[in-house]
Amino acid sequence: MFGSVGVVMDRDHRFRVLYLEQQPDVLAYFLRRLDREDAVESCAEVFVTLWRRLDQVPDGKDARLWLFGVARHVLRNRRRSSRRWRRLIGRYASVGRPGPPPQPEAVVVRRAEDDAVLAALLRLRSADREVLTLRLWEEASFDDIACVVGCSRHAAEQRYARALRRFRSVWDGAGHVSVKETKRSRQGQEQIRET
Amino acid sequence: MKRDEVERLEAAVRDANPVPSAVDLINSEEAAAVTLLVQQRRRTMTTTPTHTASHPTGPPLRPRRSMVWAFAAGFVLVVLVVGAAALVLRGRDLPVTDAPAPTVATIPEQSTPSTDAAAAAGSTRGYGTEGWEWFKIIEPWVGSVVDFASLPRGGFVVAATDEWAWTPVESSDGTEWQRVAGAVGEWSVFWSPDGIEWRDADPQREVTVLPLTRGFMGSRPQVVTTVGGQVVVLDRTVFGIRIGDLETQTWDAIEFDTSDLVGEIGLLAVASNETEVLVVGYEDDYGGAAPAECGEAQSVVATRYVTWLVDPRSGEVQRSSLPVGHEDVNGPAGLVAGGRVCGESYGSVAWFKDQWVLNLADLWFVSADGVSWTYNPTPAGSEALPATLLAGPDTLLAEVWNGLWYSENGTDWVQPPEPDSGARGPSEAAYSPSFGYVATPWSQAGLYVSTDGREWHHACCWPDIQDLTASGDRILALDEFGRAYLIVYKPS
Repeated sequence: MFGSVGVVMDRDHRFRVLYLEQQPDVLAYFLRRLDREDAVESCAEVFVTLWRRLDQVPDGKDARLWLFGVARHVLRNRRRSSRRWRRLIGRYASVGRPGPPPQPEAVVVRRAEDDAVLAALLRLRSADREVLTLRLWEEASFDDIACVVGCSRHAAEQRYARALRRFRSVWDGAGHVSVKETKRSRQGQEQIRET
Repeated sequence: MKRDEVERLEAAVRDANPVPSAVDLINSEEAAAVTLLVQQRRRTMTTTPTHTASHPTGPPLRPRRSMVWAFAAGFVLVVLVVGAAALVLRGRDLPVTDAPAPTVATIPEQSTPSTDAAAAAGSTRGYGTEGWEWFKIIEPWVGSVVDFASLPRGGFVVAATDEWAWTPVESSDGTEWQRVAGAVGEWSVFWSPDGIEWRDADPQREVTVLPLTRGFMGSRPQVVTTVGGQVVVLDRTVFGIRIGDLETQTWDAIEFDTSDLVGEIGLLAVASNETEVLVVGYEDDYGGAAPAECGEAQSVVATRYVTWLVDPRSGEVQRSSLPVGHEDVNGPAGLVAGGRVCGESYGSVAWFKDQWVLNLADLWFVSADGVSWTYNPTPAGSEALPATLLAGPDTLLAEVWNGLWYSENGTDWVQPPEPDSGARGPSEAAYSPSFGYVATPWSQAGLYVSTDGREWHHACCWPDIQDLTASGDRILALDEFGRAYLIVYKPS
């Protein structure tokens, strides 16, 4: 009996540790891709799955990757909800950025740029979009991407390079000037305004 | 690409990150909401027993070294055997097996499809984790499938495109929609008598699927169906359907009369019974209504829905309008949950127990003759929307964003109990008289099977299937990267 209590405590402790360590990252993963309501719901679903299947969750860093693998499945199925997925761009705009709000003018510039990038991302194949955002939003290594999406590191690198090329095609095809040029131009305008 | 080019693009995507720092979410309202939900669900939940299946469960993890060697050895063996079989059987590339290696290397001959539902139910009970084999299909359409269907006499037909313009993009003023719609590429129809050798007849190459004039996301559109030995594909070049005879490889077109439809028109879905084809379409801003202002998330277009019942043998077409449209339901002032947002359309139709059942987002209709429609304003299980419908002999299945639902009468919907695996259950399904119902998993890699669509059991392992259709003793499946597989069940 004492042993079984120990098992329960170990299980509970392990869950708590994983939850505290990983919940912000998993929540951020969903908030980047869904609206607030869906993100909260999806994030909870991931950790309920974690609780149910805790005995099968690997140790160490692999536990995090396991969680992101589950998150990926949850996200994929959420997106089958067309009436939610279809408002994606609106959702991106509605997600509040933590921290102090930027100046109103900067918000306008930022939103316009970001919406254009997000629109370009949405025109990519989902597999391309996934590998791009995992790399650049979650800052995942290629090893981690390979593990989460179930391919080799080499394949992950190739997919990323291919996705970036396709993103360039869509992004540049939409007539966008380079980000650096935009920023340079903006800095120039600000200097003119200051003088 | 040059380094600075890569950096430019990466910076653009990074800058657009809606949540730049996860650390800022600690102690946020969202985090508290998640914690509350998890606590509530944990309280009402008992832990599931450890799953002891021999196949991988959950997301793929980095393979252990011993697994890598086993995989490599198995892979080499399989490639050699499959290669030899390819030379003998076809003289060209055969589908090759994918990891983990299946137990046999040659694709079994297709068994004669059984039409005995009782036998089907009996054979399904034998499903388990053993006896499944899968074969990766290497064909030109792989990676570009939009819809597929099974042929009554066995085999599959696939509608595919090389373009990915169907990925919709919303815009602030609605003009982008038109541009995206015009960018839709040419489509092809491929077919196979047994899922092994695929044919691509030239006449179909000109077929252009129509529903892409409107946006859709998530669920797979219904653009191809079969009736008798014929294939029916929606075609925007004629605003109607193309009917193809696969044996003679001849195609006829039936154009719908739209002269009295003054608004924007489009087609949404197609389905068939034994002898007839039903096409579902829409007319936006009908009756001289002001054009909708797209872009606002809450904007609604005035839309009425139209059906065309086609007898392919005689070419006779009967058109009818559904009794309500979305403006009628929601009112012009705003959107209610499940209503129709500007620029988006969802339609799915199925022939089930001698009636047509039609779902249009939150609207449900039934019709015995495909002409006179009855609106069902209060379906039980109203969460079951928008749905992609699949008819079996016992149950009508609805593939919905939160899993699979079933109905015994086409009007009342029930969500099946969670399967015994502990993971969320089936998501998208297929039916074959030879073995019953199969479904993709919601949150666990593999396949689910069911005798009647009501209770589901986890049956099979790799690959992680996203979409599927069944014919005879086999399943044509796609994973999320658009890779195609043929899955065959061989009971021992």
